[in-house]
Amino acid sequence: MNVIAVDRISKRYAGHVAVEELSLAVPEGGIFGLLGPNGAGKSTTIRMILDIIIPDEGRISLFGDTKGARELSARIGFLPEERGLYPRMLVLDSLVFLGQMRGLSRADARHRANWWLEKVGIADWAKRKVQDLSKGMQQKVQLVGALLHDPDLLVLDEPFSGLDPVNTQVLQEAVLELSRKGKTILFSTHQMEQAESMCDRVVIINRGRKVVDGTVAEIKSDAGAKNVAIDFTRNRGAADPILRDRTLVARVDDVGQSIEVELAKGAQAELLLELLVKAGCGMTRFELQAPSLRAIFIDKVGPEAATAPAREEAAHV
Amino acid sequence: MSKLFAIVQREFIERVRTKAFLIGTLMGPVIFFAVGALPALMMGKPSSSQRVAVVDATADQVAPRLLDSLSRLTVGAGDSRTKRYEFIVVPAEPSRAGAVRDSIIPDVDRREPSGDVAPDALTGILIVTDTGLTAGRLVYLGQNVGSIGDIANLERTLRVSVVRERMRAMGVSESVAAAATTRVDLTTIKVTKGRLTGEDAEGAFWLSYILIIVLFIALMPTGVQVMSAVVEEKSNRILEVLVSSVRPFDLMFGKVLGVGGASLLQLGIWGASASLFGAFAGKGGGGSTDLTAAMESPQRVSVAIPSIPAELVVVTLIYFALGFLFFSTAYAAVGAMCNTVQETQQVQFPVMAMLLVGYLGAFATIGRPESTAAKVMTFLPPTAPFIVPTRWSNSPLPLPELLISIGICVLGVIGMVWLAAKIYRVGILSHGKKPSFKDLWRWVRHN
Repeated sequence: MNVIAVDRISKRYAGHVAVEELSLAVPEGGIFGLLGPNGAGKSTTIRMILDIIIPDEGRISLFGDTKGARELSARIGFLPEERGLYPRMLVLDSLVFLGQMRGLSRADARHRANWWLEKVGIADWAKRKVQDLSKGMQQKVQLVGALLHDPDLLVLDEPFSGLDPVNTQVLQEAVLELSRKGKTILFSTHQMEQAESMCDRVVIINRGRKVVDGTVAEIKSDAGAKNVAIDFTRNRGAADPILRDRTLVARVDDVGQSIEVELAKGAQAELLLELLVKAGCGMTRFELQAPSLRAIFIDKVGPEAATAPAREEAAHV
Repeated sequence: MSKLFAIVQREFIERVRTKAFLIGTLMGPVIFFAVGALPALMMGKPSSSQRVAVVDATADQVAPRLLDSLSRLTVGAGDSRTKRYEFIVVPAEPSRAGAVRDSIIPDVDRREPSGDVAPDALTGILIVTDTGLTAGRLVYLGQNVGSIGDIANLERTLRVSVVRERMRAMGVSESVAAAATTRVDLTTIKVTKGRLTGEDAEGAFWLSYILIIVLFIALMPTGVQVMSAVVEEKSNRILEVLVSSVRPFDLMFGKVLGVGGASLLQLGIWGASASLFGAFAGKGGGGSTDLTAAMESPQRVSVAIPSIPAELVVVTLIYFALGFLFFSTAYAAVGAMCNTVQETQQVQFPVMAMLLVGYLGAFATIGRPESTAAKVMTFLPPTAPFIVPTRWSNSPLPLPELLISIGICVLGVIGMVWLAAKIYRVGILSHGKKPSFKDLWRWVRHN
């Protein structure tokens, strides 16, 4: 059974289309990534899935039920991109309130909140005001708020943006632990490395439309092993004329000393290696590999979209 | 339902816990004390026993007779009861009245070397002359001329005594003079539509007056608090999480009820303290009952809270609830449209205008409950909460009129809650520029 089944949903705002005829299916268990550049419609899609806004067209069912996320909120945890708490409320009270909003009783919410605060190491702060906490601690409180009621489905919108390394670790572990327990996790991100290392399945959307859908393994094998990862140690400059040869190299994803090369159609990796060695380039790695999700992403959405800073959706909700 | 309750509970507890609430709650009684009891205390509480020298420059030495009724006044109660005035009559030749007066002035408020008032110091000097009695102009010099209560009391009693003295000079017998100068008080009783209401007119006026102010104090700041709570929540960005688990309507309504509950608690505390101070002030600020009886006491009427008929309480509560829901939800919608409290300044104008029309309209029609303006405002949801209780305090409305008014107000409230919920639903998730009327129209039609 699919935990989330989205059937051709669209959302238009005055002047632009946020999401168009998008369909996706999130199976039970595992980690599902919703990828796309900024402004692609990820947050809008998540808001529609969670019944915060209503799609103009299309249908959404959760746990095989179409009555909407709000009715099923006891089974769903949500950490939005724009995070916030009541700054003058006590930490424990805030969590109890969030738990109550997810259908827990006051006593149960209090019990669970204390357990979680202990687990994430901020039990001493339970009776302090939220505004007295550091940003990192507030992030922990928010995460606990999303997990308190032990949801079957956890939805995270850009969960890693703005997290410090410690909290990134905490969140990653929490997500993996939930996944091991058979819970379903949907998270959106524009950080491909994170998605590649964590997700079982991904959907890549761009300008409101789906461009890639499948398991990470499928997507990579479809893309073909025509990529070469190279780590240079010396004489990096000598490689440039060779890399500019369009009969050999279709595209270079250049991040300095480490590069990812997409071979041109019909070109042989061995030839490239031979030319680089002859040119006197020092290398510690020359690895024929499936393209990274990042490369596939850039391939599908184009390099300009991948870096587009446009963030229109917030103003039009 | 339990979620709505949790929202109400959170809003109420978080509000009641704040310092602002505590200070506001304590300030109420302090202000009531200041405006209610303090003037009464200042006026009603007499200085203790006073020694007054009376320079009697009349040809017939009439001063002792003038002072007769004054010297019977007492101050204090029980064992501590003493004469209010001790008079020392100083006879003087009419031509030498000024000189005699000047010779006594040093004794007024005379101090010991230690700075304490000397035990035999004078409080003041009263100068009685024949021309003064004829012209009705006596002179009093004293340390206590700033005490309105002291002077009013002295003047009032002297006035009667002087009239009696004039009558005696014209040969009227003492018993006739006493009978002729008996005080006259006007008791006012209101008649409505050919029936006695049993209320006195002045009481009804004050009741209306107080009702309007209390309604305004209850409605306006509460609405503004709902508005700023919504703006605050918007800027906290906590709404997305909440809206994914509760309906925006519950969120708005829970907020309105929570803030309203806290306001009611505060008003209740104010009301209780006001009636306590009112009762206290009504007793003449602790002065003796004899004294209170001896004084005509206009100030007592102004601070005493008139008795309130039970139906008026019921009608006021019904209209308070209707007005509260109407204005608070309107304010919630205003909050949802804005990103900062500053922005609300302009946007809240229409709501504020509706409130002020009701408030000022009620004052304007306070003595004219049957005027066309009052009747029209009875049937408008924003003004009825002010007008109907005010009209009712004059005279009960006919039942059909009341029911139609309540019906229209209920419809108005439903309409406003519906409109506000639509605006709120979209507004709370919108950041960025303030919505135009076109945007609002889109929000309202939206779903």
